[in-house]
Amino acid sequence: MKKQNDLLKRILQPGLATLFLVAATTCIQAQALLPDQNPRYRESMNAYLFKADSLTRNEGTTLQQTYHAYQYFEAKQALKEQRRQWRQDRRMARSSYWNDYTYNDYAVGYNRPYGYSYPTYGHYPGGFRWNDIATVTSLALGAYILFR
Amino acid sequence: MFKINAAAFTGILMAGILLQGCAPRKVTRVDEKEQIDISGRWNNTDSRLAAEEMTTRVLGENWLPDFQQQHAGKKPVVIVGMVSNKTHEHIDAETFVKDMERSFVTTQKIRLVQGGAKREELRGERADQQKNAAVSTMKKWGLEVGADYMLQGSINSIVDSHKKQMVVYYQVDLELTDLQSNEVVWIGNKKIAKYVKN
Repeated sequence: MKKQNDLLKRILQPGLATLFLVAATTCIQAQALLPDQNPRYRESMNAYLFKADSLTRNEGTTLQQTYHAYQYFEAKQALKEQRRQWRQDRRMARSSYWNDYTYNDYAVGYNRPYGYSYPTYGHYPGGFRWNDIATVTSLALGAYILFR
Repeated sequence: MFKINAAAFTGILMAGILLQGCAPRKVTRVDEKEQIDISGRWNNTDSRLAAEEMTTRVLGENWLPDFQQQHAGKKPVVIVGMVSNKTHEHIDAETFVKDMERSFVTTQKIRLVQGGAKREELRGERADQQKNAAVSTMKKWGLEVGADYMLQGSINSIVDSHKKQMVVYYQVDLELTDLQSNEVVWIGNKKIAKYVKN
């Protein structure tokens, strides 16, 4: 009989305590609820409490979400710039292709596999550039000496 | 007949190159309110116009007396939130939002609380005081002023351009929202249209 009582005490005491706590919490929550306040407000509150830092980080700042607007002159200028870049790239590619083709390359070239194409006149050495001041000066001087 | 030798020709060429490199730049201070439009993009005049319009409206419209009536003459507390720039240009809203904040503080009609990175810095300093400051001067946690409203906004633009002509339209929208109820109590906007001819 005494053993049974002990067992009941062991099982019932924690169970009752838990029940009491749950009831008390519910009661406090119910009491804390303001008039017309959503009873499930805690679900939302708990969800936002965890992300409050990231949500408030950009306060007082400007979020840049800019778009690209078509503007006739800007588009024209961009196209011009693009063409200039392409020309420059072609020139550089041509130049590096010929410059790499040194005596040693020739030696290696003989042993290259079939299908290797040698540079043609179309890929003439690319050392010459119209925007090079030295080139323009030397050309001007040459023309002057020739036609004076 | 005019004759020129090789040395003179080279000299003139080199002098030209040198002169081009040393072209003088002139800088003059101008009045901040002077309207100077160069490219047609968003500039200081637009920012100033937006700030003036918004400040006049936010301080002069009904939401303010309404709040004071409901809260026994208490001044509303505002926190500045985020402004989205959805235009085709880089625009920082801080230039005109800061002017508005300044007007809140100087007119003393609206109280302002710090938010974002600056608030984080303040909290960091407060945390530091807990270990390093004298107890009598140490600031306490949990006594910050809670904002009643948040100021948020957006900037939008429409561009219409053809050949030498362009019309750019900017619309700056700012709104005050009640932090308790999410109710928008004030919306202010400034519309700026520009005709640019190249």
